[in-house]
Amino acid sequence: MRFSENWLRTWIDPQVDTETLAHRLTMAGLEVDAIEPAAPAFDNVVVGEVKSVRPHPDADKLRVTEVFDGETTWQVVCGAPNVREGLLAPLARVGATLPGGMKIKKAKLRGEPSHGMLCGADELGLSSNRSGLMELPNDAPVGKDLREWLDLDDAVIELGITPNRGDVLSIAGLARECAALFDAPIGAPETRAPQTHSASAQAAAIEAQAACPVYLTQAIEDIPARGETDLLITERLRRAGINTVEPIVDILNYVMLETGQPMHAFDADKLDGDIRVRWAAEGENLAALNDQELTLNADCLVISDQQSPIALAGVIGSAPSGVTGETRRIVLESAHFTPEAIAGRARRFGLTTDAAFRFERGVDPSLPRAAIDRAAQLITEHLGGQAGPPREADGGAAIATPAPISLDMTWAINRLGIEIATDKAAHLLRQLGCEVQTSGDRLEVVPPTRRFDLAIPEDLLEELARLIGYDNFRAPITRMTPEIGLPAVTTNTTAQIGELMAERGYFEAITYSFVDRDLDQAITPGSDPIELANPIASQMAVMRQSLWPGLLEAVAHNQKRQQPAIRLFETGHRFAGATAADSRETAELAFVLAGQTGQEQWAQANRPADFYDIKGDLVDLLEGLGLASATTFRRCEHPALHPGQSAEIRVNDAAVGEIGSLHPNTLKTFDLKGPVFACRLSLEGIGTRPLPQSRPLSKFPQVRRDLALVTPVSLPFATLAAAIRSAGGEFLQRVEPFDRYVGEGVAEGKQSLAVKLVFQNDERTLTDDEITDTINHILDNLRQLDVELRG
Amino acid sequence: MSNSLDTLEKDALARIEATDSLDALESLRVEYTGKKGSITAQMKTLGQLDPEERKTRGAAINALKNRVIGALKARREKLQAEALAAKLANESIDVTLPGRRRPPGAKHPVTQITERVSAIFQAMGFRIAEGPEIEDDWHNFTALNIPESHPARAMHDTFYFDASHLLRTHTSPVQIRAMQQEKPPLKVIAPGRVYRCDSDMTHSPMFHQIEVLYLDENVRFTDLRATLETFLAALFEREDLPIRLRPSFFPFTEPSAEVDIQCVHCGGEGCRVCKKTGWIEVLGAGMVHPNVLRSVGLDPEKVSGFAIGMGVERLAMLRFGVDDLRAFFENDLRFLQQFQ
Repeated sequence: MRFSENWLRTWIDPQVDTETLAHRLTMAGLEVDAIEPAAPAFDNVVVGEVKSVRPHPDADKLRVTEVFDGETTWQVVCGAPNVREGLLAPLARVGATLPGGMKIKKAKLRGEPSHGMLCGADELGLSSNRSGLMELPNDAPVGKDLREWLDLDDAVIELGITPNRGDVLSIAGLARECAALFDAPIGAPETRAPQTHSASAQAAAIEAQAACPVYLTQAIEDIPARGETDLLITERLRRAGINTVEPIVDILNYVMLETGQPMHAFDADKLDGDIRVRWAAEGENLAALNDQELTLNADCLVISDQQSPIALAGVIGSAPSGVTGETRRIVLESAHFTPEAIAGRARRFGLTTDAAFRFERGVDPSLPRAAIDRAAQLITEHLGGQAGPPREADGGAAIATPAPISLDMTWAINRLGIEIATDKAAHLLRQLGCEVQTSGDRLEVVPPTRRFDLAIPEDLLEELARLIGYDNFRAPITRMTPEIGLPAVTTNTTAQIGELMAERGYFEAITYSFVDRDLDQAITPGSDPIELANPIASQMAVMRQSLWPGLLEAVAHNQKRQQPAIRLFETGHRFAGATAADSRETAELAFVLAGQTGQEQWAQANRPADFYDIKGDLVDLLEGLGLASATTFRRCEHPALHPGQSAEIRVNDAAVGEIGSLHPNTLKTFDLKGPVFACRLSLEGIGTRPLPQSRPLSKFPQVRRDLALVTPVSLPFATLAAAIRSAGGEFLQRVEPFDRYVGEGVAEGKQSLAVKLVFQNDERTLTDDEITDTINHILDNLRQLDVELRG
Repeated sequence: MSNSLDTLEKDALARIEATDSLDALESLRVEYTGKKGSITAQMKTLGQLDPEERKTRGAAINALKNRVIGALKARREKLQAEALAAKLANESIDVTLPGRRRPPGAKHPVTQITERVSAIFQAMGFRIAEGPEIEDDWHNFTALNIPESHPARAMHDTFYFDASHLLRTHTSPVQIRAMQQEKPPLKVIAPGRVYRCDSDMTHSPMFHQIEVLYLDENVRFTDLRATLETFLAALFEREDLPIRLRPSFFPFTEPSAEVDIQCVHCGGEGCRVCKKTGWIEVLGAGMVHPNVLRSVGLDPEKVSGFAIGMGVERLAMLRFGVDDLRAFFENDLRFLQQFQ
């Protein structure tokens, strides 16, 4: 909300400067978002009177005028189309400085001397519209300094008002807040309800009493043709960020800004019969003032005449019933609509109106009468017309008195943490307009009808804390139960996983949890993703069933930026289940590898990464998580992976993820340069580790034997190693391949594999004979797998 | 005769001194002190002399021999030292060339902040709690005292799946779940992803929040402030970092506050970062609203507490000087590499 500081100061004038006022408002919870001058800097601009106008002898578009500045008449050359004899307009005198720093000097324009400049509102920074000279009203004091006359040495303060404080969305509301903050009185402008000059009244009936307990109408007739809105009103509206529309509408906006009561005016000649306040019929239409055609729902409160809705209550009026320049008879509406009846309705139709903004937050139900009097007063004073008496609609209800709140000050002090004297608390609450009865250390508080946010004792705590100042609530922590927030050491945390991945050279990515449906299906075909009802874009339409789509998009992003080596990981949820109602979220780790194994480096061969690089990274991770020895791999099928280069990862013989090279189709879908390798792990599957247990170190030497074997290429190493282990006896500790050869000298379909065997007995030294016997036993067994010792 | 010894010695020493290879030196050693060497030959002539003369001359020859041996040794050591020096010189490398590396990666800056905040609260005894990202309307709104018609719902641009399921708009529903699972005293911190249907320069449809909840008997508003002071001083690593609390509005807390720290860039003088105010808003907080406690069956007369909610990206932007929110989700390696 924006408002003119000087306007507020006509209500209440705390003896502090703008900065201090703003600071106090901010610290009271009315956050000041900005302070701007009401007008940019300019000086020496006065109200000038155009005495005469004649054509410029040498320029079609220029006129030579005589302008009186209150003391002297100057010749001023002017190009504005609306310059005319008798016009009052701002005159920048010779020596004036205009916004932007332009100095006005004596000049000759096409040969004609010009002593000063007649100004448009845009040239003075008072409007963004270029519309010729700023036309000042006929009663403007000629010669008067314009800044002084228009009160331009003013600040526009912009507040970010929280939704609970509908009561401060007006000058009156802000003045009340300042009265409490500065402990100062308010001097409200006097409202003189106009004498009733006509008997004309608009009948109205309320058919939705709970939503609209109060509905006032007032007819005003014989309103003469109107010119421009009074400059004071225009200026205050401008400073509040409200455009002027039409004098009647402008006055109603002004009353809303002043009092907080949104109001509406109907063209009485366009109404058909009595007004009804009722719920809309489902599908009923309203042609709104903003040219939008609204199709209403049954939960929309409308104002209607005997024919059709003439307003969406508290939101917007209809175009046909609206006030125009031709309107001579109006019906004013000043009503109370409950927040429940208005909330969300404007948003449903994509509307934001000042009225809806206020009604949604709660407008004082006792306000409509005062506001309609004020509006009728200003309309008849400024525009003329004959006001009839204000009329209450039939079927209204008395305004409910807010329920009293009982505030136990012992409890309050205990909750807030500092001492507050009961008298002081009572005084502060009275400053806010509450009625307060004291009995002992208990306060019985009846909040004012405008404070929809005061209902329970905690609400009063906030009010007390706010007025005393939050920053005065300082005390050491009273007590905090000692607790340990650390996870068990056998928990593999996401933080540890991230550290291990980073050590292996991976960078953490954070990709969106919602992805493109096609990309999701490229990784997880045949399983329907959970779909957002209102996605922000089609690439973010479904909840990811895998972390790979996001990571692969990130790989593509980086490949397009010439990154030669890409290692990325992410942890986060994947979402399974057909609908949101039965969604299953599981935390996962995924990582991807693409490009070179390392950097291009003078001392080290760089080569394209392959499956065994990402597998090594995975096993290093699992080693760091205490799970490497519990991990096995077996070939698997995965729709997104290369059928010959993909494996299932098993920890303690349970499947926990997959690893592999992306299928060429997957590469194509994601627009990737292959090969790209990807791995995923369920965090639950790798979530716990055994606590390490020490065993004694052997005093006896290890024995190493290397076997040069010829094996079928199709025989997985895991099968070979398992066969060696099972034949190798209890002292065989390690079975590791250290060389592999395929090609000349080795038969087709075979490979030469060098395997290292390490034996150790913890109690004695193994003899050569024992080892030889064991090796022979192993080789005998391997023959069943078509494995021979190399000849 | 003694002249001939003098000549021999002079000649030997000169030749030793002139030798520049160990092989040549070895030849000289054989030539002079070997079995057939010229000094050995001199020794052999002693037998022909009378005892008195043999003694004198023998001593002279021995002395000569020792001097030659000494010279040979000295020369050998010198040549060896030179050879070693030459070998080492030959082995010299350019120590300024880069070494073989396996450069580490890094965690995402958002994760770094999340983990730091979590660690600070863990040190204060808070444990990490988690909740689903697909939430139901009750946990995300209703239980948090945000009824259907509340204007605060408009502040949350919500992604919906159906009438009652949505992507959580904040981490506050984890509060509710924690309170449902465990009785007070309760000290939890819940970091995680949250979602709002909004995307522009300063809004991402997905971002991260951290929720902190403390529930116990007689938790006071002043305890909230003291906790915030401790936490923010630890996070920004500034002892006695000034903070200020401003009244604000969240449906799930009462009283509610927005919390500012003194601008860490200008120390409160006023700069571009703090928009000349000297203060930077970093989080929201407040005392848990009694309706929230009631929604999970707790008695607000017996239990009170505070909740703190913060946006991680905002803290990461402040800590690391990131000025474009979108950079966090582009996953450009050139960006991620800055946080090693």
